[in-house]
Amino acid sequence: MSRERTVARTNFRVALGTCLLAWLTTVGATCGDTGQTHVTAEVVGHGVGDTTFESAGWSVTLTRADVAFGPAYFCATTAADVDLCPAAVAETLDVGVVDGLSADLQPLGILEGDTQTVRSATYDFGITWLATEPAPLPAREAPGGHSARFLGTAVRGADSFDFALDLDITSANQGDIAIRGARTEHELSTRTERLEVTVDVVAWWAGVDFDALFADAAAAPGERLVIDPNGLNAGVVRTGMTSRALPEFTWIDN
Amino acid sequence: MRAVAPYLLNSFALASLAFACTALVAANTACAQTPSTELRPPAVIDAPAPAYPEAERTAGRAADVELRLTLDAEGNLAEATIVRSAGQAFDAEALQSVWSWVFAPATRGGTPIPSTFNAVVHFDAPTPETLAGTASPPVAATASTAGASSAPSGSVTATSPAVTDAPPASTNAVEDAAGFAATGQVAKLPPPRGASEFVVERDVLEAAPHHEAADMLRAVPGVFIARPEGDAVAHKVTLRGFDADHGQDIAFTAAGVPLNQPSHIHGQGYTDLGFILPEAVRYIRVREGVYDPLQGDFAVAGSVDFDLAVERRGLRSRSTYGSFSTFRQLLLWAPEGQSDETFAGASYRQSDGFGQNRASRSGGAMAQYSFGDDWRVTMTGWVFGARAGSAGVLRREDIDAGLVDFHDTYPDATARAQSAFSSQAVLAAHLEHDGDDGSVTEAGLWVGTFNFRSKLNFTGYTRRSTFDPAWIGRGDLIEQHNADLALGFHARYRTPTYEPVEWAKGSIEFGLSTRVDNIDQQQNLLESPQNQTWDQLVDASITGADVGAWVDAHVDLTKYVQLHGGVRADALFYDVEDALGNFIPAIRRESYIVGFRRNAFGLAAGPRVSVTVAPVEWMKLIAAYGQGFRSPQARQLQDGETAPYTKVHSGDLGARFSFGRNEELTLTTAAYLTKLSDDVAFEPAEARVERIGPTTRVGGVFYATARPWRGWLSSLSVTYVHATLDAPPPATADNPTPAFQDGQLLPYVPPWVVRLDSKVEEPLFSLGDDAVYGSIGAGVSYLSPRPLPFSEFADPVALVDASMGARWRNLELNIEAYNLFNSSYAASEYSFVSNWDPGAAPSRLPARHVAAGAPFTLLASLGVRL
Repeated sequence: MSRERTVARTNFRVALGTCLLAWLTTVGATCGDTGQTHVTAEVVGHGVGDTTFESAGWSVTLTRADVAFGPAYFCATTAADVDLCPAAVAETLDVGVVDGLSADLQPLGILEGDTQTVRSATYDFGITWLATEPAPLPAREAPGGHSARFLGTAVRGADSFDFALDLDITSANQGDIAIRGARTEHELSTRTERLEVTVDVVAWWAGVDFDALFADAAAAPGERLVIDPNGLNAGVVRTGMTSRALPEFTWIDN
Repeated sequence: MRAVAPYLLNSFALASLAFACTALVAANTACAQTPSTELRPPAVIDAPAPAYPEAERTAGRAADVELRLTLDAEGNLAEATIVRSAGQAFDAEALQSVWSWVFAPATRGGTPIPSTFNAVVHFDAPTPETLAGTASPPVAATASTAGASSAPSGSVTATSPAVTDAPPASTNAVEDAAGFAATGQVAKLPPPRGASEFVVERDVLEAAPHHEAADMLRAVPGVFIARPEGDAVAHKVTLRGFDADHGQDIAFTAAGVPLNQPSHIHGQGYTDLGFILPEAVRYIRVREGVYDPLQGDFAVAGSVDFDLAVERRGLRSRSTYGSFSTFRQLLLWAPEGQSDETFAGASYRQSDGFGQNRASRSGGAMAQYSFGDDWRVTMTGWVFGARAGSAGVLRREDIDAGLVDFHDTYPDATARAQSAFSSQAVLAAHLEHDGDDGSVTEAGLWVGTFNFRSKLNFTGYTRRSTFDPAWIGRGDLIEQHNADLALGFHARYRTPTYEPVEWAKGSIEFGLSTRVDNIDQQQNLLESPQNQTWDQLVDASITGADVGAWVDAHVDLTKYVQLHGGVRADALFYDVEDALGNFIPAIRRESYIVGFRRNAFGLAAGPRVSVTVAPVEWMKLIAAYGQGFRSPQARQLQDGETAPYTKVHSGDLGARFSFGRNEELTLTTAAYLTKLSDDVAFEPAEARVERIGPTTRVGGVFYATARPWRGWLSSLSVTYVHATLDAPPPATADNPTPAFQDGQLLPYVPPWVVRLDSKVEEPLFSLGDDAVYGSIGAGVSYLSPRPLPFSEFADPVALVDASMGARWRNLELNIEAYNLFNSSYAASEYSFVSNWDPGAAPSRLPARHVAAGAPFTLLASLGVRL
């Protein structure tokens, strides 16, 4: 082998060695992560366990309180609507029905999201007004096509009547969500395993004028009073659901 | 990874095999220099030294004249033309001299054949003794022949079968040439300012097939390029850890004309390279990093310069037809007797596209005329227009669920209405003078008009009109319009070299670069199919000016050390007339007239320094540091605001090696660090880039080229980057505390980019009196999974393009296959919120979206040269 060839090969090896060393240094010194992590958690609902309450001398027992919940979006902003929360931290597109009379946990769906701080919730009660639809549409799961369906009995001494109320909670504007910016704060992480939605149906009925309802029921004795969903008393329940006693969110980490 | 795994294996089996073979051969060639038994280049038997021109004695400078020499089969000189002038006196002496040379003809298998090659005639500077009297003997001059393997400057024609592993063609008066890589225009380029500076020459650029000139950039280390928004929207480019989107991080030029459009509504620094005729690209110079004061606005990741010239003279026609009814017709005229820089060409292209709503039409013409010797004037102009449909993006889950085909678009009027149109016309003049005293003077003036209109829907049905909030659900078809009338001027002067002592010499350069842009831009929401406007988002007129100046010193300390150091400062002015500024929402009573006018000024300045140490001839060590900038999106500036320029700190340390007499094997390795004060990333919801905060990139690049003998070449690049966000992104109203963790990866940046280009061309057989040449070429690209926003990763991309060709006399036939293994790859991937199912409750979680890349495509081309 000629000297020229030997020198050339040595040079070549030096070059390759330099390249290799530079690469080991560069690549070996670094590693990476993607930042946020995808999170899934179970969404469950339940009532507070109360079925009976007193109101102006009336002893009221709710025998059925089915409440649709969802879809729900959880945002990084404290005041969240469609425009302020174009991208949610987490959401559940499922619509589930909570038996508001039972304190047992009832599955509502699956929450999906990314690790970040949640500061507000935006949600529908089973009826959504899509951006492309001229009117709100109930989800298939909504009880009877309504946001909530209540049955109950009111008793005061010898007076009593049964009543029923089917309530629709809808957004005011096309493409909007019914409840916007409800407060809830949680650092969503991979440790988050469950979101509990608590509905206090008894609180929603507080303030209902059962005397007035009794008067209405007297028009058709022996029959169950179907409360006018656009009437004042239905409005009291509506207000309870949408502002006075909003569902509470409890985040459970493992 | 799952779907592309077979392609990866196939691709890299091919890549490894091809490069290993070529590199091994090249290494062996470089080491041993064993002569070929088949092909021998022409040789200079006797080259009498030319006399030093009397007219140059006073200046007394050294000079090189490069000539193109054509020999007949008997070894007689048939033609000699100047390729690189050193001034009239030197040229005349050199021309006169070569006609007295004695040559041995090139041979194939021992049979003499005609050939063409380049030779350099060198004139030494006269010594004091030779200047002392008029009777002094002639100053010695030497001549050298340029190596002949696939010369990028075209020093070897189709009739030149010269091989680089043949014995050097030398006599007493003829020295070995520096090699083909150092001939022609490439030799005129200044030395690299950083280890990551590459000149990718035509042989590498055309090794793999390419649809258009921009695709050639894939051969550049660290670059991946795709056109996900249709053929009328600019390419998206990735360079060395930067998702440069449509050009925001790369300063592009062609023929010296800056191509980036500041404050473009579709993306800062928007650059449409569709006008460049690939057949007219002589080389691409890529400076990765910011180490040269010539690099101005948008040179954040670096800069890319297209050099335009046509080396094979004559009239050329090329017709292409293939998959998806794709048709292209090229006419290119390079008049004989003119320099390579003089040419005129036109092309037209149409295609039905590889899926729904992807049809396109484009066409343009380009001409360049270069004349003059002492003062060289180059006039360049082009006109280009394109109109194309766009399939937009698809939710990955919809593709997986079979709701829409990967290459199609949503069956929805707003999706089918996506399209784009672009046009541009540019006229430029460039003046250059290389003084006898070593000084350099350059000046250029250009004017251009650029028009862009796109209708793209990334998000489906999520938008509500700000004009009337009751308007919603009409489709997020965003129309963007940008019209830019720009005028620019640049000039530089480099002083003569000053040599105060024997071991040190240097020069200083002063430069000026200015441009003024007059921009009109609008962004609206349209309701398809009537394209009714249902929201106005932007309506602005912008006047922007950039005045940049620099001073740069070059010092050689002995022959081992080179120092470059300079500083550049740019003053930027903006005046914005925002017709929708102070917008009054529908719910508020009008109490003033809508509209807002504002202006801003800012200064960006920073040093650029580099040190090159060449301890031995075959190795250069280069360290470089520089500060660069990116101008702001003018429309986002507030009145009187000191423009928040993106400041970039760039550092680079590397080594370059070259082996072989003609640099048959070159290796480059470099480590780099880049920090940005305020980076941006693409925001699909607004179809534009948004601020994401400070970022850091650290990585390395390896680049190797091997040209073991004529007709064989391989080029391999491997680029790695670790790109991270240094702080949380700026808080916004809809995201007051953006998620952030230390070491968070930047979205859209592929950590690994690998590219291999290989080509072999050999004579196959003789037909008549001429050989039939056959060639095969391939390009392999690999991108590792790219991190996406919101915890997603894109799939890796592995692509193989290949070509086969044959040429005989003036005829060429090529078969080109793109995406050979029909990989279903995403030209781009995003993660954002969309709603393409308006009948269901919309998800507001970011989801993966893809814009499909082209499937297997087969094209056939027939070319004729006259």
